Amino acid sequence: MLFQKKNEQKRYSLPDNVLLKAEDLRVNIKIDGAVLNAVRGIDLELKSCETLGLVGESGCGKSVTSKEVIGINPSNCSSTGSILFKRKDGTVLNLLELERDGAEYRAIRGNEIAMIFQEPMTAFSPLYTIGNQMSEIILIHHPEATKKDAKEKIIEMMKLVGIANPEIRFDQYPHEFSGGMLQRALIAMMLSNEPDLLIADEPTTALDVTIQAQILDLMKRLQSELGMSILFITHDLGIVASMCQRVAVMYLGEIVEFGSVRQIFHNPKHPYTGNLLRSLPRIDSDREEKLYAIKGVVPVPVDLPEACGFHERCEQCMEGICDKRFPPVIEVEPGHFVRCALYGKSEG
Amino acid sequence: MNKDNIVLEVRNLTKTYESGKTKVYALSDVSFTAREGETIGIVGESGCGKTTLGRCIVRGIEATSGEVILHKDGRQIDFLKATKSEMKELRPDIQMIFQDPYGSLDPRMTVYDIISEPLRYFGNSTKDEINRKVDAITEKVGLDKSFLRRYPHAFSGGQRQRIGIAKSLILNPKVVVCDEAVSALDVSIQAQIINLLEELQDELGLTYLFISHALAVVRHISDRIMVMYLGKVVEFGDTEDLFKNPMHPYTKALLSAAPIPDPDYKMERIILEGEVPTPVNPPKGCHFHPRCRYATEQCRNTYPPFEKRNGRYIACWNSGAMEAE
Repeated sequence: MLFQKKNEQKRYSLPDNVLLKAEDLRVNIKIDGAVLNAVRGIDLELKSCETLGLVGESGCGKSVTSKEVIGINPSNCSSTGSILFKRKDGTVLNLLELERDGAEYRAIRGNEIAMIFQEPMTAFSPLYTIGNQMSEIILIHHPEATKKDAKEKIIEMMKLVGIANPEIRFDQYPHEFSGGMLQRALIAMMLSNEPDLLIADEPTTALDVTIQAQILDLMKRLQSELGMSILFITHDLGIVASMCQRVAVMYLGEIVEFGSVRQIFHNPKHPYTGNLLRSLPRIDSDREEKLYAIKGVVPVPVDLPEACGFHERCEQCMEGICDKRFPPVIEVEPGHFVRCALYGKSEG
Repeated sequence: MNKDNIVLEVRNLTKTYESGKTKVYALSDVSFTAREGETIGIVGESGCGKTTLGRCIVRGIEATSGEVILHKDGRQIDFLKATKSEMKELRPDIQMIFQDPYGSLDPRMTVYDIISEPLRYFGNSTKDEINRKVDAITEKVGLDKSFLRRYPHAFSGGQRQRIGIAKSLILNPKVVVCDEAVSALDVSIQAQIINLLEELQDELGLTYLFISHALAVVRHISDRIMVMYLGKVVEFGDTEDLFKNPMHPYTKALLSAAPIPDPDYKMERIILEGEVPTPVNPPKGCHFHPRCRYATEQCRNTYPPFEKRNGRYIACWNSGAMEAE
């Protein structure tokens, strides 16, 4: 693999409306001699111009998955499987075959795949002006552009995301911005090369509710204006319901359920999805005396048995089945997939 | 337990910070009463003063002016004016549960030491009594006795929060200030801890001041809700009533901004323009007027009085006009 020549790369293809497809993606992280199975064989498909939600609790592997797509996981991570991505010129690449620091990946990163992060306050360096940092993404990907061109483009982008007085803001430092304004600046910067895929990793978690509403509103508007796909990573089911068309629910490194947002919220099939929705306090229905609580805690993903990851906490766990093997993925209705032994014919 | 018994009265609580000529009102003129066994939810965005309010009540920081009256055995005592020796008697009555279960437990103390520390400092329990109380409270919060000899690093966020709760409740407090007590937890663990807090409240007759930015959680746990904006209370009323019919424009916008986990839920979302202004130089008049779509000349000039209207306390010049709308 290491010595594979570039022109011998396998040819891949993707259907017309599919932008990104991960198959049997596994990511292991080496920590202190132990191996953490962060992502355990997931299949994921992202269509053009759709917003796909990746939801789950801390440690379920949602961030590791997204970082694997853009190729910024630390060096103690190793991955197998494939992530196919369709470039702007129509060629399809397996991102896992690319060298992390190679010219090809660098041409994609920030240009065709962009990412915004949870904490806009730490995403910018405090030492340089916002304008300086935002221009960089244009200057790197368009060597022919001058600083003046970049400034023009950035000011145009700042207007687009609703930053007032962009000419003044351009020369200010990050500490002169509020959290919400920094997230706007980050979004403006990441979208200035018009990427096909935007990865948003908990983009509003650090923000206040009313500011969160502003940013989500902005992302929706920009998506319809610029036409990009968004991979939206969050733990907040409320945000998923209002932002996404399709949803993948992750638990312990697996996608346990995948479907349209209505299928997941109105007809959840996997016990974890159903329980998670039940355990949320709601403001749109009558108050319940007592919240439903899922028993136990998420296990540490080290040396996991070949079994359903949720079986220890599941009320519908079938002894001898759920704790003995990996359930297969079943399509319970068109486009609605679930990985649970409760559904479909048992195999073997 | 009697739900009409007042346990805590907060009167005109104010906290200012001064730096040179500027005076910052982190908390200004907050008053309310809390009854036995009830939960008051305190909501608002960052910088609204909700944490400052909680800290001033427990005297984690000293308030600039105002009173926190504790009703104890028929006496009314100003908690904020208590001397050091009086505090030794009063401190057990008002306790606090913190947000971050990682930062609030000393990593070099065993769970037993952490939970028993308040007992060793307050009162003069014998070793046997301490052991008995620690055993009882660990069982109550759902921790295994075998955990007592271990250190905090061995536990998950949810279990650490249980340890923190055990530590706060071991002195049999009357009032517990919960500052974002479940915000750092995952959804499935959050539900466990909320249920635990409610069970403990029923059993021990606790009064909670539940500070949080998570509206759905606050609605679930609170009897009454206080909405804060820039150091002031803008609306205060019964939970159900307030959620059904928010009267202050800020409360309206805040409630409508909360994402609802239902893809078919349709509600007019009020997207507020601008951001929370800094308390260093708050806008003249009503602090909310630059973001308020109902703002009038009166709002720009004078801060509205905090008045009772239809069983609700509210500080707004226009709530009448809005209702007519």
